[in-house]
Amino acid sequence: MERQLLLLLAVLALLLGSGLAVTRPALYRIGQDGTPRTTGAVAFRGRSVGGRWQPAAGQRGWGGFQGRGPGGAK
Amino acid sequence: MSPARDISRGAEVVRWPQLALLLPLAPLLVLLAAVSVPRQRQLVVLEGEQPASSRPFRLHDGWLGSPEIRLRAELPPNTAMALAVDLLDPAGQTVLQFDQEGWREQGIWQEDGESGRYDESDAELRLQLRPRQGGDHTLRLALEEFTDAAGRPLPASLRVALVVDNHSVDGGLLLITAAVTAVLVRLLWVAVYGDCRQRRRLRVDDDGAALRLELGGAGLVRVQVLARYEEPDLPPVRPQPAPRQVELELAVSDAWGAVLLRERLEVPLRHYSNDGDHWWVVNTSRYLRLSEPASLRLRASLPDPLAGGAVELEWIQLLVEDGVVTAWPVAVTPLRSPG
Repeated sequence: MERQLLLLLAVLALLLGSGLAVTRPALYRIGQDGTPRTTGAVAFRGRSVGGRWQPAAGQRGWGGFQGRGPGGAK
Repeated sequence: MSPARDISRGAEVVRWPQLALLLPLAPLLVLLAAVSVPRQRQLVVLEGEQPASSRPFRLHDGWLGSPEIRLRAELPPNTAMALAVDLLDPAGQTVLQFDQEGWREQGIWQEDGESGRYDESDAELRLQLRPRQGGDHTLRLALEEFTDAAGRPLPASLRVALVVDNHSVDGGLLLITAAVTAVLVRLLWVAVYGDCRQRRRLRVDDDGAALRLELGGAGLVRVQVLARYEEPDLPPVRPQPAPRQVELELAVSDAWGAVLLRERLEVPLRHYSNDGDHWWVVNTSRYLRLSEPASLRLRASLPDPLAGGAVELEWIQLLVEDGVVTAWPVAVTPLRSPG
């Protein structure tokens, strides 16, 4: 009995995890309200509202040179 | 008595859990397939402050992975930049606008009399999204700022590598899935191959351990002998080196005392040491097949002392499991019918 349950759990975990990793149902779609998730130093100039992109007013400050020194080399 | 030899067969070998070992590999294969899919690559050259457009690239709206746009500025050493990026859909409408900052620093580090070169940068961006509808999209890039480390403006000239992958997957989630599936398959193996009708364990501070119990039925009888040898408190004046093998005597007799099996086996004696302590371990297993249920006495004994008194038996443990199955064929000693 527990063997079938464990096999079932293993197959379910595999299908659920792989399915979510491949289809990514929560991923941002262009036109959705808000902005997508990113990696990197990114600042959005606006946001999507009601299916249209609305640019934000005003200029953003420029951070300048951000070198952090030899952090990874030490 | 020289015992007959056989291998486990029929219902004694359960193979299907071996197929379950393939389950944790599946997410890894999906990850491998996703990273080997060809990507759309191009280089956008920015000259001056005029915006430059990329060549159109296809964003695909499917369920086999999702689009990922990667932008990496090829910065010279000790510079910083700010890019203004617009994403245009197939109809030419702006659907996303953002600024990307980046820098690169090169230099020499010194610490505790050591030194070396470093080259650090942060000039890459990954954008994961789905298009409203699949089609050719374009990026419009403008170099807003381009300065040296001191903040002085530099001549605006920069190359930006653009890579579009339409089938990216969540690699972290795939690795977690593989790990979770591997744990569940391991539990399945324990449930299949660690299961038995009866399990008895006896550990004694002697040179032999014996158990009498009712055994027999479907499956095999697994007999494991585990023993530990140590150095005596008072080592001999002339110690000899410990042997690499010892002779294990395994005897099985029935309820009337008739000997069904008497084997002398050369088994390995493994040496371990830690912090000046030395010990030796014997760990060996045998599989027996009974033709019908019976009351049996099993006895395992080991020589003591070894190496002229330099190694003494500390304890011996006899573990008997009745009704076990194996994942693959193993050597089996069939016992003749008692009585």
